Amino acid sequence: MTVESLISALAKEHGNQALLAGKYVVAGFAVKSNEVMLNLKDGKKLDAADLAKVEAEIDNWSVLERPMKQQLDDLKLVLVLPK
Amino acid sequence: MSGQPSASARAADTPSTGVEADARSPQQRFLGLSRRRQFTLIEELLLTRSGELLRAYPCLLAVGHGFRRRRTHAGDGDGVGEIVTAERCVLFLVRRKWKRRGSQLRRLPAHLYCHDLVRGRRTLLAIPTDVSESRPLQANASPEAVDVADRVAHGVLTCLVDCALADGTRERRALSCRHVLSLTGIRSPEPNSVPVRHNGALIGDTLAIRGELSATDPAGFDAQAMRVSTPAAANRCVFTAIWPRGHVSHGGEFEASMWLQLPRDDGAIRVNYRGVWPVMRVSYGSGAARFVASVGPLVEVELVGNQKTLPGDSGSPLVIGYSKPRLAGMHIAGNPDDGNGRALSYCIPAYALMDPGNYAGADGEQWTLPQD
Repeated sequence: MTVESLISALAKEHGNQALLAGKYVVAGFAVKSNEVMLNLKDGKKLDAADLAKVEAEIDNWSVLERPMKQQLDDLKLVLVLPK
Repeated sequence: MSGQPSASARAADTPSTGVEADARSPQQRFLGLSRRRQFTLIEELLLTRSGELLRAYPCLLAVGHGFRRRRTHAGDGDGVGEIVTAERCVLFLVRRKWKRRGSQLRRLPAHLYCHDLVRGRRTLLAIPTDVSESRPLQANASPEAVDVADRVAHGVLTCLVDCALADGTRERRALSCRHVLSLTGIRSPEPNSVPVRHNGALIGDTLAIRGELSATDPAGFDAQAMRVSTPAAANRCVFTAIWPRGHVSHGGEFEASMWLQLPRDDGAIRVNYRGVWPVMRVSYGSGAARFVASVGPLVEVELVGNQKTLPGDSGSPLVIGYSKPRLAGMHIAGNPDDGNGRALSYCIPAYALMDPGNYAGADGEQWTLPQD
C-alpha cells in the first residue's frame, strides 16, 4: 500500500459521501506531507458543534475493507478535517 | 431475493382506507420518514402484530427487522448474489424459500400497512418486508484468547463493565458468552466459578451472573459476567488496545456497516448489518453435551470479503467506529454460508447485553461501560 493508492481508494470509496445525513458532502482528499486533508463540497467548513459527530462517523469508515484509521496509521498519515 | 416468497410474487396485506393529501404512494411515504421514525413504527408493528403474523402464515419461523437485500447480477462485477440496501424493513424468517410460486394464501405480504401522523395528517404508510431463510447456527467456542479453567475451550472478552451493586459498592467486571465462561455444551454440570486466564496470566474468575441457557428455555441469553482481579491481564486481551466505550441503546442505532473485532492478525472485519431477530435456534457444544437452544435477541450481520467466524471467536465485540469503538453487540454464533456464499455472524445486541435484568444474579444492579 502506498500513499497514492490509499488516496485513490479514499476518493473512490468516500468521494461524494454525505456526512451527518447530507449536511456536509465530501469533495475529495489531498496530501500535504504526512497530512491527508478532507475537503468538503463548496469549500464548506465543519461547524464546531458538529465536529465530534463527524469524527465519530469517519471513525467507522473503511478503505479497502480495513479501518481507515488503521490504514492511515500504517502509512504514518493523519487525517485533517476542515474546521 | 431468490425463490419464493419473492417481493414480486408476494401480495400486500390489506390496507385500511386512509385519507391522505400526500400524492406519494404509501411505500414512498414510509421511505420519506426519518430513520428513527421508521424504526419506531417497525418496532411498534413487531410488538403488536408478530403473534398475528406467525399465526397467519404457517411458514413463518420469526419476524424481525433490518435492511432489505437486493439481488446483484453478473454485470455488477460482483457476480450473482445479494447486497444489503439502506431500506429498513420487516424481516420474515422461513425454513425454506419457495422455488416456485405458491398459492395466494401462503404468500407473505410484500408490505405491511400502518398509519402515522405526518405533519398533523393521518397518513397510510407501507413498511416493506424481506424474507430470510433459516440456517443452522453453531456457537463458536474454542481456540486462543481467553483460557477458561485450563480447558481448551476458549473465547474473547467483549467489554469491561462498571457495576453499581445493590449494596452500594462498585465492581469492575468483564462480559463474554455464557458458553465461553461456563463451558456450556462442553462440561456438564457447568461450573459456577472458574479462573479465567489469558496466555497463562490470571485475569479473574467467573461469576454466577449469567443468562438462562438451556434446551428448554424459550428465549435463552448467552452472556455471563466475570470479576476482573488483574486489569492489566484483561487489557492484554483487547485486540485494538481499546475497550468499547458507550453502546448502542436501541435497534435504530445500528449502522449499515460496522466492525467485528475478531482475535486475529487481520483484527477488525467489516460487516454489514442485516437485521435483528427476537429468537434464533443455536447449536451448542458437541458430543454427549451438545444441545440446541432458542436464543435472542440476536443481531445478524454479514461478513464482507471472504471472512468467516471460527471457533474461539465467541465474545468478539461488534463495534461502531475503530479508534473510539462504541459497542453494538457480542458475537455468539456463526454461519459460514447464507446460501449466497456470505458468512454471517449473530450477536447479542449491546442494549440487551448491558441490561442486568437479562442476567440471573444481578438484581438491583446498574451497569455502565467504563470511560477511563
